Amino acid sequence: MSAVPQGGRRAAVLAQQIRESAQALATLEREFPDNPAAMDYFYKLFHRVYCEGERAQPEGTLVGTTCVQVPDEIVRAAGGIPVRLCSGSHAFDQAGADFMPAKSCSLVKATLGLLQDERPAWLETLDRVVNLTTCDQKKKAGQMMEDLGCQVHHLEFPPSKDSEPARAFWRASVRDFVRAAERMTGGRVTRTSLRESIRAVSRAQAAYRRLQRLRAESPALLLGKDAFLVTNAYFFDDLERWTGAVDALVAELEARREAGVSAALRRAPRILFTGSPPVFPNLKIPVLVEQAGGVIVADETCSANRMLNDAVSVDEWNLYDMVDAVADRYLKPCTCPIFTSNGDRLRRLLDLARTHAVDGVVYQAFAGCQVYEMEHHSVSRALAEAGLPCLYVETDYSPDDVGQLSTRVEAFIESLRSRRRRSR
Amino acid sequence: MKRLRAFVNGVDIQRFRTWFQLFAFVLLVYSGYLYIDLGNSLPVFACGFNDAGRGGVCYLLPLQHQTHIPWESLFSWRALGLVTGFLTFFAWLLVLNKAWCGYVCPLGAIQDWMTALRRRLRLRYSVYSLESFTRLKKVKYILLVLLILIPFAISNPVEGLPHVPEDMATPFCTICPARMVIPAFTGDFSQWTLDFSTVTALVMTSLGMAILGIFFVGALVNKRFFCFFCPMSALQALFSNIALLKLRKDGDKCTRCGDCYRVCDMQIKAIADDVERKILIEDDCMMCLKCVAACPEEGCLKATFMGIPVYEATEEGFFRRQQRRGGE
Amino acid sequence: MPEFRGALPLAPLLLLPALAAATEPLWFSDLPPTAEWTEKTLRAHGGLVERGRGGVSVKRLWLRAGDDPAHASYLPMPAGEVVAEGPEREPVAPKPFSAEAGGGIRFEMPEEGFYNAYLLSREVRDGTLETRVVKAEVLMHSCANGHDRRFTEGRMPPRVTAGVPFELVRERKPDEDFHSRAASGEPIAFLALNQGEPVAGAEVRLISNTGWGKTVITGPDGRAEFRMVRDYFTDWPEFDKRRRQDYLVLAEYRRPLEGELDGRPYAQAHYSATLAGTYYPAEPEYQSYLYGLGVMLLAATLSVGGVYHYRLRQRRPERRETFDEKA
Ligand code: SF4
Ligand code: SF4
Ligand code: SF4
Ligand code: SF4
Ligand code: SF4
Repeated sequence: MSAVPQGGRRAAVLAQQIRESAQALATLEREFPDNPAAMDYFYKLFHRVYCEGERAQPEGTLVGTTCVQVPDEIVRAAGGIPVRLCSGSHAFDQAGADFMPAKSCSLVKATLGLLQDERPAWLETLDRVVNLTTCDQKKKAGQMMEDLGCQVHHLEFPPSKDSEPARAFWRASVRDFVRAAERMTGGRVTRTSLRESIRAVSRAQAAYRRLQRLRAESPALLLGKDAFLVTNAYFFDDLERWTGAVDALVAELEARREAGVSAALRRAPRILFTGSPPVFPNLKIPVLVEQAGGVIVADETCSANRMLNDAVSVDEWNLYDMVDAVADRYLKPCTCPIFTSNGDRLRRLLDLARTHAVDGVVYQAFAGCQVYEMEHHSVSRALAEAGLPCLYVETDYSPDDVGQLSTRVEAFIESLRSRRRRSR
Repeated sequence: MKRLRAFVNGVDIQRFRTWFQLFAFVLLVYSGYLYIDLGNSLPVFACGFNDAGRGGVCYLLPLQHQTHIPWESLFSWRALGLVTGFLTFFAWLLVLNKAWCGYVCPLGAIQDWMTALRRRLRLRYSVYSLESFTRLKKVKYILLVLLILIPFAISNPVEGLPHVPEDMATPFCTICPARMVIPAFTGDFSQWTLDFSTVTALVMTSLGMAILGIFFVGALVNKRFFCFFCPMSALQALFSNIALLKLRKDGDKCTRCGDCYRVCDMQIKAIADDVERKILIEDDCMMCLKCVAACPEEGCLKATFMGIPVYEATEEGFFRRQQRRGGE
Repeated sequence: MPEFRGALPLAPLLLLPALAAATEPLWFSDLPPTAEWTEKTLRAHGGLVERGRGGVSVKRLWLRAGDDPAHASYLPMPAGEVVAEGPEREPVAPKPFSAEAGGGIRFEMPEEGFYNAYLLSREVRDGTLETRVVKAEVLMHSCANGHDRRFTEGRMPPRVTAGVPFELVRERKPDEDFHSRAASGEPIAFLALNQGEPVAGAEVRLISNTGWGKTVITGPDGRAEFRMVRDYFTDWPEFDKRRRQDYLVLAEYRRPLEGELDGRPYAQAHYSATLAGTYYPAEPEYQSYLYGLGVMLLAATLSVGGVYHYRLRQRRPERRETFDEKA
């Protein structure tokens, strides 16, 4: 790749990134009334990190990861600090177009855009990346990251998850990764360090589940745009602090419930969000949905639910079992569309819809993300059978389509509303 | 009530089970000294050869005696013993179902202790490949059929066929590792011998001692090594679907994360993969309920007694256990 | 010996002068005289039994004469009654029987435990009161009745029967239960009792069916201990660990006693008693711990090797699959 941008252009990219982040934060914070006070922590956190370039993590070697299926616990046990590099920035998306064909996925392009020479201040020292071999675009992006000077570990992921050989392959892959992570950080994965990291992540997941449990209630206690912000913060925040902040939010929401305060009207249509992941600052669709009067109560995306829902279960707290347990957790429950079959994803969607009393589903597919585009048919068929209307939105990071999308979203929400009225 | 439920569901089932097993072990292996006798139709390996201490007897022992019966007698009063023996066995089984294996069986407990020992030694365990697993699990049915047919064949010699020697009268007991292991706990090593009196006896007792050796190594390497081959488990499995204690699954809630499968000592894959069946008691299952404890999805797996949930997977319980366990 | 045939029944202590006149010792055995009779019997824990109505075990005891258990002859049972009692001291009424091949008594054993049966006689001969006690101690046990240890232990101890002037009692071993058997090479002890009181100085003789015999004079405790002979030697292929052998115990003693029976005076009394039993090869004769441990350790070592090899192989993933090149 010869297309190394000149310094001036790079500075413009960073400035644009800061601008869009500030703008997105302003929308999230100000355009909705009565945000929970505990959300301030997250608004401020995003402001500090995205607009001021501050580092949120404690001391330690940052290890970039490009997928939720990279086992965080192992990176942490080796003494590293995992940072998820998936970016939602339109500025980086455009910058990344130097590497990838124009029609490819915004998220991958933005990630590459982010890793170019001049980075946000807090990311400057990051030069170790774990790239998972999932979809073709991510697979190929790994090589480009190497060209950008990163030390990349290509963590090999099986294309199917149901068979025992796939499981064995992935376990072997993760075992190798333990050594690779040690090389990256200079630390050592020990029984104690891995046990502690499993438990720390598990505490975070427990907090997430408590929050998600509250979201199942009606009327809704938390807007989806805030929920996405919370889970997004998990990409880069200090783990323990994040858990504490989520617990504070849960406590506040519980108090609000007692006081009868809710985030949306009882009759607001309840939405399940699925498909390509909304990543800050690209919370375009969630914001449109909630501006139109819907409320996102659950999601099946890799920036939120898929990242935090599934838990490691250890039988014997020795390395041989802990490492395998971590491996299993990242493969078996995964509902990523890159796998050969998507039965689990369908069942997951239907279960979320049932448990969260969902009225309709919004399916976002980034233009160029073939796997999500391809699964659209099977998913909408399954949803239709279950009597769930689904809005399929193909989009990217550019703000150009907002006007057209908002009309569609509003119409969809309106149709859900009238459907509700009829059924009453 | 709700709080009680939450408390129970938050229980560390492994710890509870360990204590329960210890209690059951003392009851079945030592309480004979206190003249406690739970009869001789127990659906677990409370070995009858432990003359001194046994608090009850494994059903396979009387079963092998009772099937040592001439054909004509099958329709006379002599078959009464067979019928009452079976009915008692069945009544016991009806209550606890396969949890007899997970919670009561002394040989099961011994294997779990060996697993604990291995864990402390930080030796990793082995598992069977899926193919060997499917092949090996048939062994217990073959053993069950043989242990009924051989004594019957002794009593009913068929013209033309070779006579089955009398030393095969309790064919399974002679190769059952419990015959050596359990009496040893009351200091009785009289079973640890080779019997040179006849060729059959020599072959059978050698087989028994060899199996004992394999048992010691196997149980140290594989969790519940012997239970895969246990004919008692096969016999229980035939009736496990009508027993009162049940293991239920709500497939809709299952993420197929496999957490349950990976902690299962019996390598039961269906517990994670099957999302259709409501009642999921596989023939190897010992109803230890480790899977329930390992399932993070609220209400996905549960044990019910006569339809009433007694232990249920909950998020809260799962994450509490996750923080508490692993102190070792 | 046709002179026994017409003997009169005498109550209450069954004084059978004709019996007393016989010089050979008399005893009870459960071994049938002919194959025909053997066919009717079943093996049970207490020896041979017959199956009675309703499945009750029935014991048939044959009267035999002679001090060689292997060759003692079968006698017809003299008409008359015998004394017997069940495990709970309940009186049992044995039925005498006579057959072509011999005679004896027969009784049902509905209860678990030891039954005692006696044939008694008294007679004055040459100024001596001759008292004979023929005793059988019969165990009834079926595993179908369970193995309640409290119950078993309660019924283990030997009993003496009131009114029996002199009898032999087999002493129990500390860990004995209904499944125990006397074994060759192992100690076995008897008590000589007079109305339950130990008799010192009695002459007790144990004879095995291979002709081995030994005599012991009882001490003040009335006890006579023997080590059962090891007299079964055979080639390994023929060895039968269930081979039954019979033993016979005879006891007698004399003491001065003045009195008169049926108008015949006597100045001393002579008592004799018999008791028969069975013994089997001892376990150490055919069982070996050493070989047992050897086989176990060999199997364990091979298993360890197998596991180790398997784990080594697993480390090289490319070796996991092998193909059959010949197919
Ligand atoms: S959105 Fe789709 S194509 Fe893009 S990185 Fe994710 S899975 Fe791959
Ligand atoms: S040897 Fe085995 S089968 Fe026989 S009684 Fe003992 S435990 Fe039961
Ligand atoms: S399967 Fe295992 S636990 Fe169950 S009876 Fe057999 S040995 Fe005991
Ligand atoms: S642990 Fe629970 S959710 Fe996971 S596979 Fe098993 S049953 Fe399903
Ligand atoms: S399926 Fe569950 S209850 Fe059955 S053996 Fe496995 S872990 Fe235990």
